[in-house]
Amino acid sequence: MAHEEVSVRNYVVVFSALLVLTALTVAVYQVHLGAWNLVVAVVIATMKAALVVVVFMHMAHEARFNALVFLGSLLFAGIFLAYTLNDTERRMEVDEYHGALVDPETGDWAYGVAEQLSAIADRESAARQEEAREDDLEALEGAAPVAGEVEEEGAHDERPDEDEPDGDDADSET
Amino acid sequence: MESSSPKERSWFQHHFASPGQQLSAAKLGMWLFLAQEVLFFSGIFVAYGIYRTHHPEAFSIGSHLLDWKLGGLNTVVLLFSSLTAALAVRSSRIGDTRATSRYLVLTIICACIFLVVKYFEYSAKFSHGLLPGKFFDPHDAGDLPYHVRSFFGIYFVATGVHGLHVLIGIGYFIFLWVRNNQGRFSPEYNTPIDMGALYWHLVDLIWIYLFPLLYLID
Repeated sequence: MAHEEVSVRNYVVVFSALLVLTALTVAVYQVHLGAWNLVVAVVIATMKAALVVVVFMHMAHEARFNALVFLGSLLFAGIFLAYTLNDTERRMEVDEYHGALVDPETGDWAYGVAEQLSAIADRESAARQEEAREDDLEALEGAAPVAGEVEEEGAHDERPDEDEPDGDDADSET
Repeated sequence: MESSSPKERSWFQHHFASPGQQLSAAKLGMWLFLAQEVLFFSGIFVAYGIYRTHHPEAFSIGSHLLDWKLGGLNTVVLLFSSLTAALAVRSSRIGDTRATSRYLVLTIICACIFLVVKYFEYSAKFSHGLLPGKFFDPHDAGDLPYHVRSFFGIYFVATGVHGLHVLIGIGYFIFLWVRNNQGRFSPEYNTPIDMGALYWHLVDLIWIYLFPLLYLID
């Protein structure tokens, strides 16, 4: 607005700098730097991006708040990338602090195998106790009307009740 | 002055206190839109980051199946179009309508060249069966690792969405060119050209990153 216009010459100089940087990226690609290849490519691209944003997009003369909006979006894109890779890149790693493996599927802590097994065993025994208690209650409720019938039913139900009611069918299907 | 008569200032919206306020509002809206664009593309870059770190060798092989010379040509074309877009804004600010027109046409031509080159690249990939995901069916590239298809998935989504932005840019710049020829822009009012150029620079910005990340993997 109030500022003086950038001269055509300056725009052309910046464009030439962008061309030089492009040539540099291609040159680096031919050299084979291994793991540094990505770092150098991104650094050069960021230098080019900075030239475009500051000179072509007039960021230097832009209202501070508008610059904040744009740079803020870059910050959040960075957070998005960093946090996601910090998760996905740690799958199957042993987390020393938690003494656990990072679950490859979910990224949650998968605690030591022994602990996992004992946790599973605890859960199963708790479920078995609960089932037994329910059976007892059923037996008690049934005992009131006809004693003989209930005993028969109770004996009959014992085996299927250990699995889910449809457990046998599902197993044979799979 | 002639330019301050109501008819001449038809671009001035009555709900703004001043032309300066109207311009600031437009600029804030545009930068918010560009921020949204950055976040929109960030999803593609994050997917790229995850897949590249998981399958570095597949990405290297996939990258070598692309023609970096065509990608480099498109980089130069797009950088040049950014220059002409910036010069279009400059000439409209100093009231040189004819120069503005010329720079807008140059920008449109560059954008079209970009898409034509892209068309040749795409058709070469299609004919070799180098397609994304489940459509991946390479005919004569030898034995390729499984995840080369993931590289091409990301390649086609990233360049496809970017190409769509180029296409929209062409449409908008044609609109600007027509309006400019109708004499709608002046040093007082050239906001649409300014905003269009900002959009175009962002499209250029995305390509500045896509070029080395897709074409130049060691």
